[in-house]
Amino acid sequence: MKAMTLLRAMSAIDPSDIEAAYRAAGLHGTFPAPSPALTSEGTEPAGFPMPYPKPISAGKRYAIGGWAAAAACIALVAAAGLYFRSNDDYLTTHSGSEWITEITGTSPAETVPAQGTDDASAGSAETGTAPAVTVTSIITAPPEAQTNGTGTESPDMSSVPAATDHGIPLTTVTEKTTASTVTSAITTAAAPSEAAVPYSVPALLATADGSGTLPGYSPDTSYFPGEVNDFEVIDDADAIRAFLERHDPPAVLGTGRMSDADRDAILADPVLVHVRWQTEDDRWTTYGIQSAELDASGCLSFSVVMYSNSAPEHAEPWVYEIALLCRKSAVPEIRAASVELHCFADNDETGIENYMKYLESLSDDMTVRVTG
Amino acid sequence: MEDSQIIELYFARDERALTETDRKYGGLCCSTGRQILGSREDAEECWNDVMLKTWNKIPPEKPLYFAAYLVTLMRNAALTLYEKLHAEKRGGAQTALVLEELENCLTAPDDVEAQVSEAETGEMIRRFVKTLSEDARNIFILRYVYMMPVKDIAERLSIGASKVKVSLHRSRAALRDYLGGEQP
Repeated sequence: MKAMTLLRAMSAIDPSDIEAAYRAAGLHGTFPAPSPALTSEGTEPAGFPMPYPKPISAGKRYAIGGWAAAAACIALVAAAGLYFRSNDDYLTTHSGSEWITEITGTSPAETVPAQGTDDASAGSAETGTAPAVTVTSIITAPPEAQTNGTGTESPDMSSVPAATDHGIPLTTVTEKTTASTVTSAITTAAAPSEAAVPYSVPALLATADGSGTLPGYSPDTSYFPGEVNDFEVIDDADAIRAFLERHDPPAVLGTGRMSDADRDAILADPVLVHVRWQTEDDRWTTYGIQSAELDASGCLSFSVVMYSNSAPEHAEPWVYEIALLCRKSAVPEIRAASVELHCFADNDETGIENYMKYLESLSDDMTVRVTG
Repeated sequence: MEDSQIIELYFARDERALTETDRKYGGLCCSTGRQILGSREDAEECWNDVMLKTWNKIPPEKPLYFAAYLVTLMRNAALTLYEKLHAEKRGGAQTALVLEELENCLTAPDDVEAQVSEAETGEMIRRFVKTLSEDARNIFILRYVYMMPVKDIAERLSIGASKVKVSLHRSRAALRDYLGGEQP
């Protein structure tokens, strides 16, 4: 049997199913095609001009760069430590009334016990215990991973992340894959009021999906791949609900790694930390979050594992978004955010299979809807 | 205008049937055709053929699901044209990608003994699709009947592209198993 035979045979699918998909996708009425050549009296069918939206201009399509081309040849593992500290600027320039951009609260030491027990916290413990910190190193990889020179080592995709009582699923890949981690520093303008003891942020992963170019976000070639260029904190219940309703299922998480009490506390008093960045290279599909932590200087740092296949339709700039649903009281004052990307590239379905294997290794995936 | 009213126009041999069909479904069908052929002009050519064919088929046919009926005619016409153009090294768009995806669903070598008629395959696929969950079925149909890109499906269904890809992957794997079990 040939693939074309198979494709042709799809026409035999029950019309009721085809119609149902048509309605589910909201295609009804979304392709208005009044033909200028037609009149109410009708004409011969031949020669109808069929109006159709102009295709995406070729100028918006980017060839896969050398870096990504290399990725097509080998299972590339790369990591980039990235940071931004535009939050202050964002706070002063953002004028939206609905999107709450300032979270005030008590210090983390008072409201959230320092946990620091996951891999990420361990990796940054050496700087996290400084009594007064103006420079916070963002290190989510253990020191040995940075010195063993295994930057091209393939990840163990089948391993199941170690369960922790708090935090976010996906915690294990770092050790094997972050040889090329770049340690970045963030200097905060204001002195922290508490000792910089990193602690995990109990959070639900609301979305982690490079699902499309966001409206209003034009690709900007000045960004290098993976740079975080925007984030916002949303604590308006309606805004959170509206955000989550745009994503169905809105949240996928391993509940086995989070206690019911933590989950309930989040859902009772949610705040959404919504992070966006974009790349100028081909699309990387967000893979999952390894860890997230907030230090007392107000820097939220998390690491993201990303996967890419090289389907041509994805060879274009892409905006990624990650949303963490946290308990409001656990987010004292976010002053900056840092994302560390661990990117995996493969050129065939193996990547997808690994991705699925990893997804399936997560326990108790569930959907979260917030009604707060 | 409701589908039933349009079909009544066909039965009355009223040429407004064509106007209304084009107005309501021209864009959708041309979109499907363009995804297959990669060319607006070629898609329009197919749509013209489909309109004529519909005019000739109704009556006596009276489709219960008019949108599905038209899209099926359209994709068949477009695939036929695709094959013709492909022999001439033209055309493409989503079709090449879709064919590549479906290659993995094939369970038997491409020899004479292993070939199953298109009609038999169609019947198997019809049954297979019924086994999918509603979400997976919709995604599968949007991809392989409407030939929509993954990104468009995700946007249409307000879900992540990753979810679409994972769903398609699972469906293809299931189809491969299904065809393997069904084939003689």
